[in-house]
Parts: sequence; structure tokens; C-alpha cells
Amino acid sequence: MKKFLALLMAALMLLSVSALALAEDEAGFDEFDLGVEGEQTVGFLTMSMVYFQPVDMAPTDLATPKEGSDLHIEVDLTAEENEYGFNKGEWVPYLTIDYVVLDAEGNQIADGTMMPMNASDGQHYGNNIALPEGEGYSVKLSIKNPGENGMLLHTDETGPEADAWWDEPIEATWTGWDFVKQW
Amino acid sequence: MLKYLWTVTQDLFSTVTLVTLIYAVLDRLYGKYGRRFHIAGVCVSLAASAAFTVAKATTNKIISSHWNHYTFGFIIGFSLAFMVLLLIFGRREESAPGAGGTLVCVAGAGLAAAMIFLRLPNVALYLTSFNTMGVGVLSTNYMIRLVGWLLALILLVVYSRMLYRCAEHIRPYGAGMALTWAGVFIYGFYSVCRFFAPWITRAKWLHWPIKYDKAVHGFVGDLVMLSANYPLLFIFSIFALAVICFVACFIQNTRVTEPWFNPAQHRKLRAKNRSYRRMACVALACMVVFGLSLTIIKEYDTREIELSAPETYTVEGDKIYVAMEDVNDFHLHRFEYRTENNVDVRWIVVRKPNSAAYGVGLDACEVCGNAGYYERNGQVVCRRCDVIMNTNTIGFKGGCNPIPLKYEVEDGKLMFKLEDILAGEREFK
Repeated sequence: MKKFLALLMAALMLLSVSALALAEDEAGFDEFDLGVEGEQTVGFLTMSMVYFQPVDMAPTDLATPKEGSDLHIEVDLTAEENEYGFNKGEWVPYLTIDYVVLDAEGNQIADGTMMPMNASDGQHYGNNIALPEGEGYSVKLSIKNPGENGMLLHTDETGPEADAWWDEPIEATWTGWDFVKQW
Repeated sequence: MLKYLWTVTQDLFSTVTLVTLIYAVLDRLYGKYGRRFHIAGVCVSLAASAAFTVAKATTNKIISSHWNHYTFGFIIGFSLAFMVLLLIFGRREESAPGAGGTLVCVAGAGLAAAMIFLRLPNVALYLTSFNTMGVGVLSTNYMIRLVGWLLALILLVVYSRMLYRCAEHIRPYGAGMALTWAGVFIYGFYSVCRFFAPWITRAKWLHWPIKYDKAVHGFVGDLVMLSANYPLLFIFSIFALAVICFVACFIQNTRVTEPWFNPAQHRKLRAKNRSYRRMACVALACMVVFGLSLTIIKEYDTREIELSAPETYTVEGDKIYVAMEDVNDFHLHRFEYRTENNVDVRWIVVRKPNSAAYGVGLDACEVCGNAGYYERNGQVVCRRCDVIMNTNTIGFKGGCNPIPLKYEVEDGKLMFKLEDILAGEREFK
């Protein structure tokens, strides 16, 4: 019995060593889906939210530092058919995207504004944020029009269908987010 | 400084405790033979951690979530093996190693190595994050952080030394073994919780054939969230084991129990007891610091900073006046105006050092929204991202600087146009 258990444990250790050998070394990073909704379309925007480890960004005086942050959240968005002249499938620039994170009881535990940025997987809005691990979080986005950041719209015959940007912010919510750091 | 004192303690306390307890058990079981295995495991792990840290800092080849997942898998396997093998082959002190004993040593050394590898690279990488906002490695900010980081490491090394001496000394051997076994069990259980995190968060890279379904596998999710919701539960469980070890060591050394044959021998035994009692006291003092770091200091360091109360000003028509003598002291001053939409627009004024100019801006920035700024040790700091502002650039556009607000000087007063204040309303909605 002793010998059998010893052999079993030796085999277990060998298996564990081989498990570590499986660790992938491909370049890049892992994104984790945020919330249970996945991709959703609100207004003319198709959006999905992901998160991963805090990242370094430049210029440093514009960026929220990695130090003191627990994760980096991102919203990837593209335009659908719209009256503002954005091409379908394109990223939409000049947006102001405010976010609020609520815990399972609906208490606000973080808020801020996402910044436009580029990563190896393209343009997006995101930010490093501080957030404790927890379950049942939800994230609300409030997306204000590009005019607030100085983007203009042609309003004569050279312009798109709309003659003004949208007034009320576009709002989207992701729920049921269990946040566990894996980095 | 405080941040790194508690962060490094939180990251390494369990690891240091268990690596030390395992070392003490292997030492008591097989003497030099056991120690050699353990030291070899630690050396391999330190080398691997160093290589991993460099690779992580300089390349994009390392995906932490993958490595952590597999390291937790490794720890689970080796924890289980160590616990079982210790019960089979490690119940008698100073035994001949044999094949079974060698397996115990391999399991203990492998487990210690994996625990170090899991935590040490992140702690080493804090050195790169000290240099926030490019302040430079010779800056006061960098040095203060470095002191906190080093202090935690030094305390952990001292604690480890004391723990080893006490764990190696407490009687009976079974007590030391039981403490180690319990510690490994707790860490193994914690590793199980974290191992399944990619599965319950449906990580795309994890190609397990069975997908996580909360209705069916909810208990696994509960386990994972247990480690997320109660991050200190596991650390303080291991903390309690270390306290038991030190208290037992202290109590066992209050009286001389060994036989002695002359007063000189008696004095020697009493001196030895005194030495162990002192060691236990020093270790317990370290533990007080660790305990404070993980509770009160962490709470203090991560507390929500209250903004100072808004100050008074005068309104004349569509102009707001702030007396310059009220804001001439080089400290941060906050003002607030309630709009018709019931929105409180805040702005700050600080006189710039060695200058007659004022840094003026909304109490909000483009990056962190309306979190606001506060004064800490004479410096203006963003409440959300903790970045220290250069007072000379307050009033300039961009980054974490306050959003600029126009003002003019009239008759010894700073004059703000109401329309400029109202233009900032959207930042505070």
C-alpha cells in the first residue's frame, strides 16, 4: 500500500511538472470578457467589454499609471449603419465614455472616463482602474457625442443625414461580472 | 512607502512561512540530506524567477494568466504529494531518507520552488512600477517606495530565520509537522480556488472540453470567489499557524526540562531557553508589523481621501471674486458653485512656488474625471490616480492636470466669469 501510494504521488508530481511545461509562450496578452452580455448593439454602436492586467501607456502624463491599478478595462466598439457619416464597421473617434462600476448590491465602487488609445489589437477606449476582486459587478457606460471633444459635422449638402450629434448619451450596461485577477 | 510595505507582505507572507516550515521539517526528518534538496529547489526557483522577471519586463512573450494557471496546477499536485508522502514517510524525526524520504524531499523542494516562482517575479517587478510618471530612480518618490519594499523584504527574511529556528526546535516533532501539513493544506486549497479562475471566467485560451455552466458548476465558481471575496482569509490562516509555532516555542522554553548535572550546564540550558524566547519575541514583533500592514496600514493606505471643504467667495453679477490674500499661502484652495441644474462645479486655486502666478483649474481632469485633488505634504495630488501634480503646470491643458479655468486679476482679487464656471458643469454631472 505504501509503495503504491508513493508511486501514485511520484506520478502526480511528474504530471504536475508536465502541466507547467504546457504554459504557452506565445506573444501577446489575454483578454477576459467582462459581464455576461458579451457583444451588444446600442444605438449605432456595437460594443464589447474586456479586461486584463493593468498596462503601461504613453504619454505617461496623460495616462492613469499601472501602479495602484488592479486591471485595465476596455470597450471595443464599431459603428453600425448610422446617420452621422461613420462607415459601418469602423471605430468611432472623439467619444467621451464615462464608466461606473457597481457591486452586486448596486453600490458604486468605481467610476471615471475611458481614454482613446491604441494597442496591438487596434483602437479602443480604456483605462487602468483600481477595483477589488468580487462577484456580480456591473459596468454602465455613458457615451457622449464627439462634438463635446471638438469633432465637427458637415451640415450642408456635403454632410451626412444628421445635422447634429446625438443629445442624450448612449448608455450600455454589462452585468454579472465576476472579477478575479489572473495575472 | 506604506503601499509597498503591505503589498510585499501580502504577496510573500504565506510563501515565506511555508517555504520555511517545509525547510524545517525536511531538516528535522533527514538533516543535511533534506536541506540540500530544499536549497536546490529554492536556488532553481530563484534563477527561474529572475529569468522570468527579466523576460516579463523586457518582452511581450509572457502571458501571466497562463503561467499562473499552470503554476497553481503544479502547486496543487505537489501539495497533495507532499501531504500524503509526509504522512507515510515523514512521521519519525531523524529517519534514514530511503526512496520514500527522497520523494518527500522532492515534493517539499518542488512545492517551495513553485510557491516562490508564483510570487517573486511580481514583487521584483514592483521596482519598475516605482518609476511612475517617469520621476526617475533618484527621485524622492522612488526612494520612499523602495524603502517600503526593502523594509518588507528585510522583515520577511528576519521572520523566516526566526520561524526556522522555532519550527526546528518545538517539541514534539509531530507538532511542527502538523503545522507544516496544515499550512500546505491551506495553500493547496487556495491554489485549487485560483486554478479554476480561468475556467469560470471562460478564458478563451483555456480549451477545456467542458464549458463552465453556473447552474451545474456553481460550486466551483463559489470556491473561486471565496478566494476573491476573502483574500486575507488564507493569509491569516497561515498567520495563525506561525503564531502557534512561536507561542509554543516561547512556552516550551520558559523552564529547563533537559537533565543537567552541574550549575554550569544549568546556566547554559537557561541561556539557550532565553535565546529561543527572545527569538520567538522578535518573530512575534515581526508578526505584529505584518498584521498591522495587512489590516490597519492597508486600510489607511487605501482609504478614500476626503476633499477639503469649499471656501467662500463673493458673487457680483456674472462675476465671481476670490480675494488673493485668501489664496496666497501656497496651499490648495477649493471653491464650489451650484448651478441651476443643481450641479456643484468645483475649482481649485494654488499659488505657484516662487511666483506671483496662480495655478487655477476645475477640480477635475480629462483622465480621472471629477475625482478632485487634495493636498499632501504640500503637494497637489489627484485623488483617483494618486499622481502628484507639478504645481507649476496647473492651469495648463492636458493629462492629469486640472482642466484649465480662465481667470483675471481685478483689484487684488481673482475674477472668474460665471459663464466659464458654468462651462465646466458637464464635468461634474
